[in-house]
Amino acid sequence: MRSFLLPALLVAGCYEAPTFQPTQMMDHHWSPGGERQAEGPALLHPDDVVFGKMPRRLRVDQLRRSIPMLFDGITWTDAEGNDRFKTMVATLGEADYEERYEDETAPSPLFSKFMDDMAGQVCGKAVTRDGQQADPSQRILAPYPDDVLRNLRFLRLKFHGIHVPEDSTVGLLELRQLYRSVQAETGALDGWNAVCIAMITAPEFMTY
Amino acid sequence: MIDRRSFLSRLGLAGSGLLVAPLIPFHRALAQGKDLPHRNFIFAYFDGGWDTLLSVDPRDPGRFDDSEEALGLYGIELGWQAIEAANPGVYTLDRLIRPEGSQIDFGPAMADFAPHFDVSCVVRGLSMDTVTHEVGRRYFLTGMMPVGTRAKGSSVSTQVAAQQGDRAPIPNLISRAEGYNEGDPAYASPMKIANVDDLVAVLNDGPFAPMNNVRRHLELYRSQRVRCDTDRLDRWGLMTLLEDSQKKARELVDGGLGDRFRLGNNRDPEMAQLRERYGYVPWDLTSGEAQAAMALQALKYNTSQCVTIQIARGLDSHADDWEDDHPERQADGWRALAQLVSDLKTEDDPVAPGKKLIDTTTVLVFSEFGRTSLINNRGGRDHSLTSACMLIGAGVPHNQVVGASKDTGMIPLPIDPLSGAVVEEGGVTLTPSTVVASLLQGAGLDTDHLRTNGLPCLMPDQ
Repeated sequence: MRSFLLPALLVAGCYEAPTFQPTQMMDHHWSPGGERQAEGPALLHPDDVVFGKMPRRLRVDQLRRSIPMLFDGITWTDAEGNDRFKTMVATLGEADYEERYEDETAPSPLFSKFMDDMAGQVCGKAVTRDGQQADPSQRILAPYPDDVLRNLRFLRLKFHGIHVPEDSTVGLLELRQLYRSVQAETGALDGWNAVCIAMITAPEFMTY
Repeated sequence: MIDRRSFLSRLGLAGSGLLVAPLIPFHRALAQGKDLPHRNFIFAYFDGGWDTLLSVDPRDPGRFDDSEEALGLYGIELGWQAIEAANPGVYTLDRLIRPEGSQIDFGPAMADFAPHFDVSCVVRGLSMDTVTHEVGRRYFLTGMMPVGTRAKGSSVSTQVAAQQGDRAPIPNLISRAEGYNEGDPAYASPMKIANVDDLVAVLNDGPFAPMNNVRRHLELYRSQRVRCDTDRLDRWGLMTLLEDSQKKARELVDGGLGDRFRLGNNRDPEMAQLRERYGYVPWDLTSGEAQAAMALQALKYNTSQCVTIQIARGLDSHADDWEDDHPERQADGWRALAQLVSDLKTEDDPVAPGKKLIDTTTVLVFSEFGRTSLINNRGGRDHSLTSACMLIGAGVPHNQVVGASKDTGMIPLPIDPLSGAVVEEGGVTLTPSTVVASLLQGAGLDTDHLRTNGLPCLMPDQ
């Protein structure tokens, strides 16, 4: 399965082949010293083993604190300006320690639906503010005028914590296509709005 | 042709809400392939621990008259006079309710529900084995005694949806109650909402949701997006779950069902009629009445196949709130349930032509435990190990009482599993496990994980 997927991803231009070289080999460690019998090597780091913790979905509290930091103070609000991350705690499944003692962190259609709503509003506000910002470097989403890929690199690092080097387009080409498609129809601001929504509703943003 | 979800499920990638068992148990996979009878489920929860003497396990006030002699003899105190005194002119509590033709005696809080004896079965003498709210609640919701206070296994509603398959857009809808998924497919995971507005919000785009060309291109991007970080994010299936949830959320909005749950919309004649029948107020859609109306709509429009609602709350009355509030709160819950059952009797099942919803829907009415048979020195009732429950509708006995609690101290009595009658020796003691097993087995569903069989007396169709 894995050997099938890898070429497919490479073709898609999304996945960079790992440069891992299985050089660290050792013989059968029970072999006595001196002249050894060849019993085959053991691979210390088989490439189908992934180390690290189990990924988790962001909690509501983490979103409540991170969205304003990423969007220069902008957050998800209702018509009266109240923070919806606070007014919707019951719906979004945050523990209140009266009826609920644990945060709900399972992915669900309900959570996804409200994250779409949240992204639509927050990104819309950011785009509006960027449109009024005379100094491009102060823009939230697109600080590099006329350089779509550079902006996307910036956003990939900002939202997903993934550094895409200058000589790479890993994970950027589809986003650029999204931007161009929307931009061609209704303009650059809508294009960045779509990219912003796509990125902050993506699993790379919603998990850690 | 195999669809994506089935493919993922077979690979074990659909996972679960708890991400603990990506592999679906084999016997459940088998159950999914069985020709199961069409069955909806409603789980109606009375929150706080109900006083069964007022409802499902009452006693004749002529015999249990609260005299010193009766108290000494039975250890059961009805306290109805205290209720009348605390609520002048509201209640006249002098007899049990038994409509003509009924084999069931109902307590005074069930006056509005009693006419539905013809589709109801009362299960008495239920041993809850706990007096802890969370434990009793989770015991009933899962059919398995929790480990400490932690729920063990999936909710019954999740088990049902997992075995039936996702034949409705929201297979497992849970309002103001708990729900668990441990090892069942993602589609069976509960969609938990805090009130009916949440459901409306889920079924409709929000005011700032991406629209028009942004929405169109966004969905295209999501559908064609190639994953870049599968090793890191999807090793346990989390990425798949998030993407499936996103897709499902879109399907729900596109389904156009939102208007069927706008209970406060008086301009819609259907909503106005619902409000009149159930008596909820538009500014409190957390009420039992509103949730009962939502449950009806969910089945009527085939939005869900399992609906769990908190139909009454605030019943944990250890002090004089027992006489002040408990009777009214419990009666409100039964009234809402009565309306729901009335509607289930009249509404057609959208999936089974020629059948009414009551013919295809099983309702389990429960609380986490009962309350003590004697009133405490604060004028209330404490938690009791003994409780009762009610089964309504499809696949359950009708106009029948199964089991009993003893006339001395309301201790659960063992029953003959075939007839449901109390037996002097041997027999089985009723528990939430046996009730849940009976419901599932009666609907042709697997019960291996419960490690108990259903009781023949609760499965008339088997």
